[in-house]
Amino acid sequence: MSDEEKPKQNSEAQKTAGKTDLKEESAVAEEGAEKPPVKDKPVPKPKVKKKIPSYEDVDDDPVFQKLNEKVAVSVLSVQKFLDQSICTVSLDGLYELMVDLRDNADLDFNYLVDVTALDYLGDEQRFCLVYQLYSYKLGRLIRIKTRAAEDEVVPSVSSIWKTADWLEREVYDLFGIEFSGHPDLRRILLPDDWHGYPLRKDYDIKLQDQAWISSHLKIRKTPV
Amino acid sequence: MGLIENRMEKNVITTTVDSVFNWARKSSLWPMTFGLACCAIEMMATGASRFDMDRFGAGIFRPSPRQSDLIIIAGTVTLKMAEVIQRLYDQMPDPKWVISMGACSSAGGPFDTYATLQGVDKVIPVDVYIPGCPPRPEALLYGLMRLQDKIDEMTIAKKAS
Repeated sequence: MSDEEKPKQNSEAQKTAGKTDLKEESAVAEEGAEKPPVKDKPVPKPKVKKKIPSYEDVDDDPVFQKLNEKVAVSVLSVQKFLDQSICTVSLDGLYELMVDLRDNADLDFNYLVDVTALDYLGDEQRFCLVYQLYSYKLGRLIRIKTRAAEDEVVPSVSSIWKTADWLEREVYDLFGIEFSGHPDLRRILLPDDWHGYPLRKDYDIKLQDQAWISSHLKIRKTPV
Repeated sequence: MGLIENRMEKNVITTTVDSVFNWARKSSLWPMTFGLACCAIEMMATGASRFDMDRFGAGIFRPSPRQSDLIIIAGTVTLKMAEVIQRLYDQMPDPKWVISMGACSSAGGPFDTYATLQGVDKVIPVDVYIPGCPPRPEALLYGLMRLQDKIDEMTIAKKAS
């Protein structure tokens, strides 16, 4: 019996305690209500300007300090943007730098996440190639950028990371950038005999390869 | 049907034959297992138990164009796929029908681009167009019923020229 009664007693004690608290609170509220209302205008809080994120040059990035000295020569700049590391490299030193990024035991960038490109039409070095690398060891993602002119051939990194095979084929397919040392450089998304490179800025977005259409599709004359 | 088709004026024989054949054809459509984009997800939902396309006799999706008489173009048709669609359509035995499901296959949808065919009717004849992005399963079922109405009007009699 005593076991059953004990919790009841406790709960009753809690209830009474709760009641007294409520009473005290209501008393406080009444006291507050008796005070005359403040009629002063609310003072506006000073607006804190949000810092606009921007590219900042960095000298002491831990990743790029560990690079081999021979390779580090080709690094043009290291930047930070919202905790993302961006490294711009000259095209000549790209391949050696990529090898070091993977094989350097302190870095170990063993995963090539993506290869893509940008078209700065009108610039002397028209294309910008972007490589996203991830290191499972450091848990870090870095971005390697390099510029290439329209007639320049970019060294393929497919011998460093296998996944570059298809990623570089995609860049070749849509931008027409050629990669030297690629095992199988042909179109991957568009038909093999397509003319033109659709992601170039001088390619009309609606332009369809009429020569390809006329040779592959039987376009019906829609009945009037 | 080739022997007696388009030979006689409309009479009691043609109408009787028509009603039998049309009833058989519209009640037992065999769609092809063919999906291209998000519309295909709605098409799968239509085939599954909740909406149950089998109620209309069109529930079994055949894995080969040679065993099907209906192709539902469910999704964006790229130029590269248009070539394949044309070949698949040619491989289907007559009589055959086409449902264009959704905005993309009917008119290109939002993809007015270098790679997208602006309407599948540029490469194959379409019987029923279903609007929507994607159309709900009810819309596909309604489109199927409209196709059945269309099949019901087929005739072996001489057509007015």
